[in-house]
Amino acid sequence: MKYLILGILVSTYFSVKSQSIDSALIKCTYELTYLPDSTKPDKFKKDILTLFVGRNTSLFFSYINFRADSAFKADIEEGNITLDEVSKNKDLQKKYTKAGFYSNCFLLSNYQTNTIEITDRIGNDKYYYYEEIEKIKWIIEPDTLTILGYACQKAIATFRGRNYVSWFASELPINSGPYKFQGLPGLILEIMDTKNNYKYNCIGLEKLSNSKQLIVIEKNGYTKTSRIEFRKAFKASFDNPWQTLTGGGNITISGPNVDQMKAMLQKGIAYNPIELE
Amino acid sequence: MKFLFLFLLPIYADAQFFFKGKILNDKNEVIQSASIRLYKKNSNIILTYSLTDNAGHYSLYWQGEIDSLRLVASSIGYEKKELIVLGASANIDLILKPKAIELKEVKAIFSPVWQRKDTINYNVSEFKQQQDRVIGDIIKRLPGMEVSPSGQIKYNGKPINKYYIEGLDLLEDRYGLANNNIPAESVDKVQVLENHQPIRVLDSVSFSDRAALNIKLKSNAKTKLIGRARLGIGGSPLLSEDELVGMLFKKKVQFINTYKYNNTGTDNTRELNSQNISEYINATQNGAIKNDLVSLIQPTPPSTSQKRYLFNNANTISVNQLVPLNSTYQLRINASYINDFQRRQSNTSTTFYLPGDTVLINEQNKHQTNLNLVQTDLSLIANTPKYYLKNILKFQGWWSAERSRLITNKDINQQLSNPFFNVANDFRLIKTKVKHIQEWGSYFGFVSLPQNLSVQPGLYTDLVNNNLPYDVLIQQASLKTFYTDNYLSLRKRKSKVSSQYKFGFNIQTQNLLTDLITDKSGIKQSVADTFQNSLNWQRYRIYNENSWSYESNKWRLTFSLPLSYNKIEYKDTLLKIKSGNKSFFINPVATAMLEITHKWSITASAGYNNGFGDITGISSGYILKTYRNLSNNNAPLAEIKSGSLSTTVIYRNPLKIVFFNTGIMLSKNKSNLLYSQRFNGNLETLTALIQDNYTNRATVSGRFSKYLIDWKTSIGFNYSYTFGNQQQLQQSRLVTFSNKNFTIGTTISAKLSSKITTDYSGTYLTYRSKSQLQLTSSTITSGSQNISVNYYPTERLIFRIAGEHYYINNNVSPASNYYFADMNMRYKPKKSRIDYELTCQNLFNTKAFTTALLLNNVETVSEFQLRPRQLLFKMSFSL
Repeated sequence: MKYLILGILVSTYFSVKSQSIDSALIKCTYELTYLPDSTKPDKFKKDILTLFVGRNTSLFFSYINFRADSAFKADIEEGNITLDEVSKNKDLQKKYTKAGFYSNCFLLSNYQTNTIEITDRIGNDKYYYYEEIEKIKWIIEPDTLTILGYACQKAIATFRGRNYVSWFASELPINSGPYKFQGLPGLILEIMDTKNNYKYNCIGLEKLSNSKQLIVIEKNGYTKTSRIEFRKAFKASFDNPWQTLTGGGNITISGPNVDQMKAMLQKGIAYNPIELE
Repeated sequence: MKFLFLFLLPIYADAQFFFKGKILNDKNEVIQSASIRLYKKNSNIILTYSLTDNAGHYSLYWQGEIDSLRLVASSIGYEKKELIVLGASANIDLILKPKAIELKEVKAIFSPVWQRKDTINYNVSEFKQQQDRVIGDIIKRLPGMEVSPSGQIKYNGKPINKYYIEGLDLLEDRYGLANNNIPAESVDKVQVLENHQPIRVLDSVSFSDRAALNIKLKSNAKTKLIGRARLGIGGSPLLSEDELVGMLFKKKVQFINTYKYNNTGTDNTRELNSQNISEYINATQNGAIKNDLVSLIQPTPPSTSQKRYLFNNANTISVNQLVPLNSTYQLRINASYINDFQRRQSNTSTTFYLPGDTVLINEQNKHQTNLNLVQTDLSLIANTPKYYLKNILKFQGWWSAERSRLITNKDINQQLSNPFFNVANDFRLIKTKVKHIQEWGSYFGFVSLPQNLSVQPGLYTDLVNNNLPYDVLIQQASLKTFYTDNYLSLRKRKSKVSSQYKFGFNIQTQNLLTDLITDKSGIKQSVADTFQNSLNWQRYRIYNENSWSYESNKWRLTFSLPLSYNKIEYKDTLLKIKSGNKSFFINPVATAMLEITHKWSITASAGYNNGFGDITGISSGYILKTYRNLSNNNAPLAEIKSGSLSTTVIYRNPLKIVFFNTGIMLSKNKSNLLYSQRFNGNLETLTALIQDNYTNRATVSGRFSKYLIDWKTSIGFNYSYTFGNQQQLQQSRLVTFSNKNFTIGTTISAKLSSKITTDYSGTYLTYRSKSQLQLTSSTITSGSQNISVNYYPTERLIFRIAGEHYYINNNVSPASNYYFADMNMRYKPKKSRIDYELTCQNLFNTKAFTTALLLNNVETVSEFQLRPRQLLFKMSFSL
């Protein structure tokens, strides 16, 4: 009897663990080339993103931002800089604040529960929300292309207001891909929208044997919200970054050039998000 | 691979396929998200596909002309299963066997350089080569970066304004200490902070066009003491190279303390030099830089690397410590002591091409210097966004004695006692007020330079001793300076325009005493009044410097308009003459910077400057500056006017890792004094006369560097062309010289494989000089090449072989080539903190080297004694 109870406890423990914690088997690295301002069609920006693929989950985030973020954290921890200073100094804000910035989000897709858990930031405020994994209606086309030595086939689909062309490798039976793109019978190695505003290229593939890399998402200090609410506030942070920065009341900006800065920030930043709807 | 033939059905023109089923593993558990794909039998084009749901179910439908198809099921971590199916509907359950993931891995190549906002990051591990010991070894290889032989670091052509370690400024301008001592393996990345304003208060008001460097350490290097001890022994003669270095870089407390000794030709004193040029110029104007009144003749050092000709015996100690006093204030101590005994041997022939004459002087010189130098800076610093304070108390003391035995047409012994003392306090306070930023500055300094040159035997008896023989000729020269500068400045910013208004005054008082003395059997006697100076000098300056700058996204314009009233009074107490000059000067400067695109920018500047000469230009009594140079001024105070114009185009692309800059600089100087050069045997007499004359100069230069990611190779290319002309009075004739110098150079640093790296650099230069008296120009051409190859047979062993080639062609001696080779081997046992190194320098045992120089009518060809072949064994222990 004793052993039975213990056995049940252990097995529940493991089943709970296996559900909530998945470890990464494969690490894919993508380069994102995007157009922050659609009125300036040659000013592309780049980002490097990481996709960890586990058995039932995947985690997607900006590697560069993560790297910069940890540098910022380190700067704070080491006392090179204080939050107070950041709040008062224009250049530091340029350096560290996240208003009008795309690559702050972490996406954890869980194919078992069919949900995506998303954490993101607006200004210095952190949020998280859930989304159902949308079934993307892919149309498979017969064209093929070799990417990174893998034979890829073409698939097209519409996702939230943009039309995409993607190339997936069926040799890699992973129905995942960059950002929220998934549902193909192979890993997506390249995807771009037909206006060429967003393009993800796989630039690295690594097997993580005996992986200690867990697929988890940090939600400590994050406030729960919904996709609709978040999108509204996110757009507002581009339309009026000044409001976003100071609206919370925690940050007051002062200095000799405060008016100029206010005017500049109130003018807004071009908004060209990947999801149009 | 198993093929299952399930159904055999008649052929239809348009077959319909509908399959559904379950995918399970060998333990009968469902596999989620497995992919099931349908292909034509002999094709790899997917027709349709399905992914299993949570219960492992899939369903597939396809309609087409084909009768037989291939069904493939696979999932990550399982073996793929294929089967041929024929047109129909069917329920197919499949069992997949687990299998290790097989992946053709693709290593993501990250650009080793990336930019975020105004910060460019260089990933150190990408540029590090196995032989690199200190961070400076890597920095000189980074694209866009340039390190001069003196240790100054430039980023895209401009000297950096700060060298931070983890964001803290431990060393101010003596950053060579960090660059030469921080271990390469402790550094994570090197950051370039573009347009960096080191004073936080001024961050949004005062634009900086310079970049700062920040060394980001690996996390394990930030908590512990980093130390290194080295012992080296070798021959011949008996050589030794030892050092002890301790460093700590904590959140707030940092220190670098060093002790080094060597007699192997390694110059450890250079890392203690200040690299701040603007401060140097300032200090020169204040009289705070050691500017010798008298000296021993020494040829310019040869163009080989210094380690080949430096016969040294040097101890250096430095203490650098940064401690926070509270959250606002930091205290910093930078102190160093140098004790160096140097020997140098050379044979020099100097040719003066004169109108209708040529003077040739041959000198065989054995020279010794014994230097003791103490420098201490004690600084109190506060650098917050609202408040800035910096007070530096500086002390510099030189105790230096030089000796030379010179064989020319006579055998001459010279001695120079050459001390120098400088105490100064530099105070600067900046505060933000409601509407403006206020700055107070105050500088006080006292400098003393009492020099004494003695020449044996008694020369120029006709000039100094009525043709009677005597023993020693002694030139005493002493200069004392007191200097103060005080100012108040207000800065304002209104939208895109910021302005600065500065009011101040400075006073310089100097006292120059010189006397030429003959010594006969211990009886010392001043030569004559005409060989004496006793001058008191006062300079007063009241100034108002205003500047305005406009800053938009693309443009940065600055205009400054310094107005000053200058009054100089000087009194010759010997001749009882009082004289002076006063003038109102306007020295405007305008600069413009345009950021054409993110990558391209262009800067241009124009300036006009007026100034007076200094006390050394009004000494009417003769001074024996060297044993064969007597100089006096028969003229009033010099007045110099100069104009300059420059423009630079800069290209930087951190994404592609390309950096490029090229520029042109024009300048024209007008002076009211002309120097007349006259020879009486070997004795050169320089006299200043009143006559307006001009010096013109134009320089075109540029530098390109690129890192080829796929080839792991940095390449660089630089060029410079300078031409100019200058006037001189020679044997009473006015002669105009035109000089043309041309330099090109290239550098390549490549990782040929994981086991071999190589560095190459080559330079070619020509000097040309011509006067209207000459039919053809005199020319010197020289070239040099360095190549080094590092081979790493294992991770613990490094072989290095380096070769140098020099080519020199001058007018005096035949063209010559020099070759050098060095070898080095380093071994670090596994898990050991000690590494062993064996070096052999100058394998071919080349013992002498010739250098040629040409300027105006003077050509100098010097042969230097070099260090012989030497072998050194070193043991380094690192903590």
